[in-house]
Amino acid sequence: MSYRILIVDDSPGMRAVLRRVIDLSGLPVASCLTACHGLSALAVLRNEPIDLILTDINMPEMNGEDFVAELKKDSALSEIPVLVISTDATSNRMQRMLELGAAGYVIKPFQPETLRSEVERVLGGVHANG
Amino acid sequence: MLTADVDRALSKCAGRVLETMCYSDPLPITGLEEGQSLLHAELHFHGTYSGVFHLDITEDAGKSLASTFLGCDDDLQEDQLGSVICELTNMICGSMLSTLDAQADIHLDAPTLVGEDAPRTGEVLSRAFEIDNGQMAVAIRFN
Repeated sequence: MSYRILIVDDSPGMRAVLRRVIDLSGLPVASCLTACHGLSALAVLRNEPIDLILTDINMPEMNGEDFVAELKKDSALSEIPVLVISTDATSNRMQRMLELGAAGYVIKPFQPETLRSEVERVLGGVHANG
Repeated sequence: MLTADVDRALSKCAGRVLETMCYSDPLPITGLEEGQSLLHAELHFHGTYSGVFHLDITEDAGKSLASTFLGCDDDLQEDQLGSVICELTNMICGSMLSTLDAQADIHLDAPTLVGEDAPRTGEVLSRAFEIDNGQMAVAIRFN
């Protein structure tokens, strides 16, 4: 199975880094799409089948918290696992994102191995369920 | 909040971000040498704490960090350089505020590149480092 991944981050530099980690991970990736905030991510998700979402929190237009909340309200999208990638390591924020339904939370700065293993863990769940 | 805690967090978080994301090993220095060509970024934060965070970096050091961060050996574009400097600002500031208070409610605005003459008012805590190909300083002011 090849995975389709969506990266949601307003920073072009961060999108490039995440994409590079995915590219170098050795995971079978069919496509890696990007969006610069939650609103544009929802538009992508309504047109493209996606297996995993990596999202930032602080973004313009629609932040990561509102994005995950919207996603989980949509029955067509709610099963897609979401991995949050953020500098915000406060317990309130992490708990809120996990309660909203995020499958994991990676704190920036991160080692590439940390992100890769979290992606594998979450995709492993997708694979097992699929 | 104690000044010593903020000071320690500034050093710790800047070091951790540079080491983890750019494989750079920053050495503390007393301040930036004058007369260098600098890039400046700033980020406003709100929530439990509000204020502004600044990052100043010499141009060559910025290019060096950005190339490593992006893993690109080709010529670095100006927008790529700006994006990486802003992302490093975001990471150091977010990491620092989380380190200072893990129970805080933190909201970060998007970091922006600003001109050399952008005003800085109020009491600022700062730290400077020698890094690959130049120097970098980070500073924070709480409202």
